[in-house]
Amino acid sequence: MANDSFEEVKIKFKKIFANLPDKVRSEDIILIINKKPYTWNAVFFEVENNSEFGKKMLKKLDELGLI
Amino acid sequence: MINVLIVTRPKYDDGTEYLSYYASLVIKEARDKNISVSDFEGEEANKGDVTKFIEKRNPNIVFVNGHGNEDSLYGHKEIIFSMDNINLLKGRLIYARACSAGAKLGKGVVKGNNGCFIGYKYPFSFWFDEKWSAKPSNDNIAKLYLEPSNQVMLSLIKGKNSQEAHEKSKALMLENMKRILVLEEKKEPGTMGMLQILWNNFDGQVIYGNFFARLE
Amino acid sequence: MNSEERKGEELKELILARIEVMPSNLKLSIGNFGTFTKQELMEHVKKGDEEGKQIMQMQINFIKALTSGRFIETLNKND
Repeated sequence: MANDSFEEVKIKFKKIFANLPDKVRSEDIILIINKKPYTWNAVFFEVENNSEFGKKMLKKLDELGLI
Repeated sequence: MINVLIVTRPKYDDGTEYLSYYASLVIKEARDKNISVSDFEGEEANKGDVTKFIEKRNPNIVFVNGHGNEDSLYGHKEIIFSMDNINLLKGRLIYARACSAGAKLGKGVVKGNNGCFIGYKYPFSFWFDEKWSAKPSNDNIAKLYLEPSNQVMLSLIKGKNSQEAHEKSKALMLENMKRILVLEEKKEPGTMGMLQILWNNFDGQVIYGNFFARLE
Repeated sequence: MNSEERKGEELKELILARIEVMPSNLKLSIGNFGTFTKQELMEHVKKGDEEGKQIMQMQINFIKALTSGRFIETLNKND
């Protein structure tokens, strides 16, 4: 993902996240990476902390057409 | 004018057992309101008997429970309504608590007449607790889906028009979605899965034809 | 495996994880398709048969409702 498009995807994710009820954020599994499940909250944490893993998560969500 | 309600409720698997139980609550309510009810339960929900009844008694309201697909509705292990005998349903108030009949059959039923069809364009689905499968009345999980669904018929029986019945049912589904969203996961695990199916029914419930159709 | 197939497999993996967290005492009745335990739902998704595709579709419909904002809009509309 190029930097520009990464920022766009990050914004897209945050907008979607902002519109989710709290219970959905904490319980709804939205991603599997290396066979491990991640909820919306777990993805948000990584993305918010600008981790490499967060970037990987966003890329995967984008590729799967989930965001 | 006497209102005549026909109910088909086959009972040959867990799903139809639950639908049949919930339909019995509607039947009781209808009889309390002096509506003439013909209850085609179990094997009685067959094409021959149902067709004969409709031709003879001309019911103004039809409540179909069970399985279906885009262009047919099932009774006891057989199709009872399809595009072939769609004329049997025309001009009536119909609620089909079945899979997907809203996608095609429902639209065809109301063409060129004053009838109304409420049903589903996706499979009508519900979670239930296996431990209560022999006693659906005790199952609080299934209630989340089947009480709002029953509300279509209960509203019609109380004299509401078809649009009102449809909206009331959807409002109850919404209420239950909100209820699920405040459940504690520890006390009621699986809330996301429950929510998703309720959404499926909400999004899938459709109404075609005369929105002002009601019992006389 | 091409990218479409890989995407399909990854979506399957996601849906399986979403089903796996359901309690084992619950069964799902899906219209014409029948009644399924959690394990049976997962088997159908893995097989990719008609039932499996239906189960996947229902899950994806819900995710789309979440990500499009339709879900929260609908909840808020009646307040």
